[in-house]
Amino acid sequence: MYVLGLWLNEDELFRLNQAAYRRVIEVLESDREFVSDPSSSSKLSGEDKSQLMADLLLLCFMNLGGQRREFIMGMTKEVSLGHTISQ
Amino acid sequence: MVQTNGELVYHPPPEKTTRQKSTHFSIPKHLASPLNIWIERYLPLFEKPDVLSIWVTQTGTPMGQFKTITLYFFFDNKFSCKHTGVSRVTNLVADTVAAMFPGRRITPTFFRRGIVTYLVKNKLNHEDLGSFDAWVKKHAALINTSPAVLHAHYDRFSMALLNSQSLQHVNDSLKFTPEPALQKTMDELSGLHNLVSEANKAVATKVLDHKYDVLSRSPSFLVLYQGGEQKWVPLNQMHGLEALANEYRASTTPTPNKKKKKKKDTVASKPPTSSNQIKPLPFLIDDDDDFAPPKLLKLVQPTFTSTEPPVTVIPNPSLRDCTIPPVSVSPQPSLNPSGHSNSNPPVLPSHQQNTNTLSSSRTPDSPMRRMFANIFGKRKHEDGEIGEEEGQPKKKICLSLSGK
Repeated sequence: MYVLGLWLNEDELFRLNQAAYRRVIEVLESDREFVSDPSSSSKLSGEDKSQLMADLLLLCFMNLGGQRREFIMGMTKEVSLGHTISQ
Repeated sequence: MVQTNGELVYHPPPEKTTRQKSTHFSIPKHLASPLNIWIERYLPLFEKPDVLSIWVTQTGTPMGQFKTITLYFFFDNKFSCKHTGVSRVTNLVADTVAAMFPGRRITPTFFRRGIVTYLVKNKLNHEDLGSFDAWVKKHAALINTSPAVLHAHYDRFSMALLNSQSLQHVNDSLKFTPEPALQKTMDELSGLHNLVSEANKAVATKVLDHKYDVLSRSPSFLVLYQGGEQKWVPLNQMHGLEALANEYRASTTPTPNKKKKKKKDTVASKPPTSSNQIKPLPFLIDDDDDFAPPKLLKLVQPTFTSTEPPVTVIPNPSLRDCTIPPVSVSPQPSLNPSGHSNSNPPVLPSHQQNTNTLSSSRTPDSPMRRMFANIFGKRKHEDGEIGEEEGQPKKKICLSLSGK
């Protein structure tokens, strides 16, 4: 993986995590009114929301100790009315 | 995923629960705060009714996986293949990483391997784990099993707290825990959000019922929330509701004392209705084994005639070839139905005492006496061979239930 470049070194992993977390805070900070008061409307664009979700998903992969199957994939394959949703 | 006691936890499926030795695992606080805001504030803007997925597309459908379709092409007699379908999650993660590290396609699998790799490289190989391993091996030998079996089947210690600490150790080691300034900002945002959430949180008040799902092999509890709402909650999602579940169990499970007393009452509270009608001891109860079902004595109604069919007795191995102490004519000691000497018989009302112990059932028509006479094949009970009268020599009786 190192040879193919499909790897992140430890310092890169740290930078990636920090950048993702910082982006999440910045996005939420920009929408502070909506976070504190659900009756107001969000100022985030659809792209911002998608980016927020992507960063959170990335943080989950990095911050849950590698529990990919138990947590991440479990949430992406959640059930609806007791049945797995087929894609 | 549930927020309980200020802690965001995730409930894995039952099979993971068994393997992880925990009903849940905690999500680190620094991750739980933004995740909770996403779930409670922004996800409702996307999601469709009845869709429970946390990660969704912009249309509100769960962001699951595409089925991988493999197409085969033949070019110049050479074989190649191409995957046209990949996971949306994989693509999303890979694209997000690529935005920071262009040209590198880092998929979610990397994090599962990379985190372990760096932990082993930097931390775990410096710690002495040998002493614990040695203890496990020795103790496994002591109890005649192997370390693998010991961990898998014997160690039932809840790993919930240790899993949380272990996860925190991972994040601290890799410096994933945000700086204090960042964390402070996030805590502030989270505090605002929690104020609103706590106000709207449903509070469980009581467990009303339970059921057992055979397919998932998991029990569920019917939980009553404030406002009257009732909801079935699987056992592995009862985090924070253990006290209510225990209260429900306590109210629906008879106490051992009551149960034991009931057994004795079963024996003692059935006096014969008449001298000719036998109400034999219905059960043989093994006091030394709480899990052994009582053994029913199938007694045929004796008529005490020469054409009387033999008494059918279910053989009890514990009683086989044992020697019954002489039947005493004195009130103490008595024999209970299992054949054990009962030095402290229960205090019964005077009208029941004659029906409870063998020693007191000395009248010729006593049902206890008849039953014993049938078991031992003594048809001459009327002649008074068995402890007929006080003062006579007591005979030692060898009880054999081998069927011969």
